[in-house]
Amino acid sequence: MSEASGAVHSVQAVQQELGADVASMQAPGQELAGQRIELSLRPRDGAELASCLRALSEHEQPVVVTGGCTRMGLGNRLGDVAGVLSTERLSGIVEFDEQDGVLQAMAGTRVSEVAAAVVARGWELPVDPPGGTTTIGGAIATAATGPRRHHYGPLRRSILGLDVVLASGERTRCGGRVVKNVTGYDLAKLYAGSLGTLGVIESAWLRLRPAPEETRTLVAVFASDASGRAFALGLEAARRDSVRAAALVSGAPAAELGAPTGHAAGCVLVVECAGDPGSVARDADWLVAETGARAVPEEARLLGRLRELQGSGRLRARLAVLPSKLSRTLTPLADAGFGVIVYPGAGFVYAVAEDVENAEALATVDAVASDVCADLLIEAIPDEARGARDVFGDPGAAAPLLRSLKERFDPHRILNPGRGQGFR
Amino acid sequence: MSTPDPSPHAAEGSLPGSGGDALAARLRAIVGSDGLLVRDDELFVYECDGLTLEACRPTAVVLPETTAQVAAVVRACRAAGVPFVPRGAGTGLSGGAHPVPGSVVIECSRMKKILAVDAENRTAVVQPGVVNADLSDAIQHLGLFYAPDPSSQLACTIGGNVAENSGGPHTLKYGATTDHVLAVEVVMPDGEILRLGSPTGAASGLDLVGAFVGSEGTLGIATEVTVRLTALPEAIETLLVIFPDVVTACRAVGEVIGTGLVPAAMEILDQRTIAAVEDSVYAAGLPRDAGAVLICELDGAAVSLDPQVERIREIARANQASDVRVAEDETQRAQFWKARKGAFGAMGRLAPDLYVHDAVVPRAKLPEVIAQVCEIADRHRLRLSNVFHAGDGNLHPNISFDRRDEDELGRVIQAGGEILAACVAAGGVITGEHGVGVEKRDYLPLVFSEADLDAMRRLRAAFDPDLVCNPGKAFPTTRFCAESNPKARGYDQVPFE
Ligand SMILES: Cc1cc2nc3c(=O)[nH]c(=O)nc-3n(C[C@H](O)[C@H](O)[C@H](O)COP(=O)(O)OP(=O)(O)OC[C@H]3O[C@@H](n4cnc5c(N)ncnc54)[C@H](O)[C@@H]3O)c2cc1C
Repeated sequence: MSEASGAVHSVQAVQQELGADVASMQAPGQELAGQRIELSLRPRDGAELASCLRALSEHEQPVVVTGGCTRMGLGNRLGDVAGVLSTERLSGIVEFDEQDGVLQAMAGTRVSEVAAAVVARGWELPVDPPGGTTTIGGAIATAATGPRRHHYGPLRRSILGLDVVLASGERTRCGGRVVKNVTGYDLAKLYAGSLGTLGVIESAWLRLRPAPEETRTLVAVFASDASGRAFALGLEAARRDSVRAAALVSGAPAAELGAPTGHAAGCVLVVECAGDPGSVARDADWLVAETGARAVPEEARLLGRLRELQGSGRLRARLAVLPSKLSRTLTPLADAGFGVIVYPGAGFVYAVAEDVENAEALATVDAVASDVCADLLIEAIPDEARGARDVFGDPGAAAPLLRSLKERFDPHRILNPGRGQGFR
Repeated sequence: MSTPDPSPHAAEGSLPGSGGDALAARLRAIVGSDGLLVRDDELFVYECDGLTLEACRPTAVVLPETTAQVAAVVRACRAAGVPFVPRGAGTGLSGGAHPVPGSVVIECSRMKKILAVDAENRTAVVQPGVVNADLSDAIQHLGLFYAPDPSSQLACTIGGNVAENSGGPHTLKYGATTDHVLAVEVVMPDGEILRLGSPTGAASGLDLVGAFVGSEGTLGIATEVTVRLTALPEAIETLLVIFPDVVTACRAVGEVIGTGLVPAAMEILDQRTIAAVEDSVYAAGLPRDAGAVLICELDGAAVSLDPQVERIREIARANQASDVRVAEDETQRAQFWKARKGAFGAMGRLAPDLYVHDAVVPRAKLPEVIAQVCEIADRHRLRLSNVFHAGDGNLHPNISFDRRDEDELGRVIQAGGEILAACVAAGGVITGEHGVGVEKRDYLPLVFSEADLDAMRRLRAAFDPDLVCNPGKAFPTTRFCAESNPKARGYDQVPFE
């Protein structure tokens, strides 16, 4: 950023160019993601979004891009920004083709709103993000994932096309609305999970899944010495046809889900079966016979609570692990004070901690990750523990490629500066 | 594309142009004499891929066996200022593996080792030259298969599949290649070796694997691919549904999708295709008097299949189907599929040349678009047959013709453009699995604006700033469409059984 006086001038120039309907100066002292925010941009449509970015680029004013503000801590530490660019007013379902099972929604639309709209017509939105106010754009930008990942697949699989406004203000499109498409590069894959560092998502075409005819959630509790068996069962469950979610939970999150606490504290296996009644009954019966699992009523919102727990913690790490190595993760992480959520089908291990000695806990995470060759992503980390760490891991030989991508998509570094991998 | 260079190269392997000898020597030092082709009669087969009307002879073809060799070849080409073109089995239909003048083709066919199979974690690591079907064959005894199943799977390679993001009949349920690639080792256009992704399929940071898959050989050369394997389904039911015409068959498909069923595959063959198949070695006892047949496959838990078969029957009946045959055993099932996968080959008998389109429309639009496609072919007095991945809305209107008849060739090209335009007007796109390549590069503006394409160029430039890796593909040229899009293919050259 330029000198303070110059910067103020430019921020004001951006504000004046865009007008009060879209841009407003913030009261002094406003902060977001640890950065002072002077300007707030709230475009109402794609054209206004493009104007915002054009002005920001011209005046070289960086912004933090926000959706539902549920996951602002993701990524590396945000660099200096002049303002916030919110997609919240880019809202609404643009088109819902019920016959084809596809839908286009504006980026700022709440995931919950879209999910409710489609379920009423027999479809399901294959997105299960951790936060209640998550937006479609935010879910895509963070490649949000939840308990149903092994069934839904990664979010990118459900993205058919994206409208993205580049840092330059150019409005672009990739993909389309059809379910099979190799026309042009698959840029949607690049934008999904890029944390808004390469462009701002304006809207998305998503592929829906048929809503299941029946859903059943079951819970089984295992004693602490039975975690090996719990892993085996969790993995086996995840590979059955109707099992849409399988999670093994230990530590504080397990207690929240109703596991006994204290010395005998073990782990909890949560399984959701969904689909046609025949398969659901078969898989649920199997689970009951194997584990003595009990059915949990829908009102218990067990999966919803699981998502919240998965996104909790001042210190939070995600390890992607091959199934054969999953069981080696639980004990060391639990011993270091983490609550642990394992999704055996997806191969994801979440370690969440509210109150631990950060350096020590991080050392354990690193050791476990290296022991099981995990892909490690630090999702949340207190600033004092961050140091020079790249939360995505060292990009190694890919660093020049990552830098080159950033350079070409966002030459003035106006989009979420600093947040991406190897972008610093 | 330019015409083939008629000047014969020196027999003992020097390359034309200044520095050609030095490059040949360097390449030979890397891959040995046995791995370098420079004689005209050897280069002849590399002039094109499955898109046969255009051709351009490369200056050399190298057949590396290791990643290190590929990297060294790329560096040698860079040092000589020569572009290079990756190639698999050459079954591509959009000219993706077409050489450009002065280029070196890097063919991966000798890199055909399955390096590792990890049954427990359901992954395999393969070299790019592994033939698609060979992988599934090698793991079947483990109860696993590799899901992407292009009709050319007995010939095409995993490397080619990755480059094209190939699909197949079972893409409807299982997804295309991109959903099954976890990691790729890439020789970058500057000769550096980079590993993208992770065997877990969840590498942190940008999804560079997702960006690489489907990039048509323009972002680098895949030298090792880690793929996801899928468990064989517990049970399979394969139905053959007989319809009075292709429009009603399409309507039924739309209804199946709209009802929320997800069959593993839904493939339609129209009357002309049925006749061609029944006249060929792929004959499967399809009813010749049917206007169209739908092959509908359901798989999954055994308990769930009967109710689904019933629902398909109901939908079929409601859409004027005259019969629904359920394959009685594996032999009959295999026969249905042989008919489907052999359809292109069978069509080779109808006329000297065959032009296969590949476009996608929203499934609900299938009936009206297929009617339009038939109208376009009729209006241009062309012989059209349709065999396609209906469940994905992926049309393959095939035109049989004779390239020696210039007037007919002109009409084929004209109709082709109109078909693509009709698909785009219905909300569709110009290719669902065969790629843009050379064939459709100048149709891209039907779908994408200059800004859209520019965003794609940014990705291209980050990988290949000097545009030396498979140049001339996947982006529009400034030339006029018709000029650069004469096309025809020799399908019968690809083995099926
Ligand atoms: C009869 C027939 C039926 C077909 N059916 C289908 C079908 O059902 N579905 C479908 O999707 N396609 C189909 N195809 C098209 C074709 O088979 C696929 O595109 C296939 O993936 C091409 O593989 P290949 O090994 O032949 O690659 P090639 O044709 O040799 O090359 C294709 C592209 O891949 C690039 N490439 C090859 N190897 C590498 C590498 N190692 N690294 C980087 N780039 C590389 C080339 O540069 C080129 O751009 C069919 C073709 C035929 C002839």
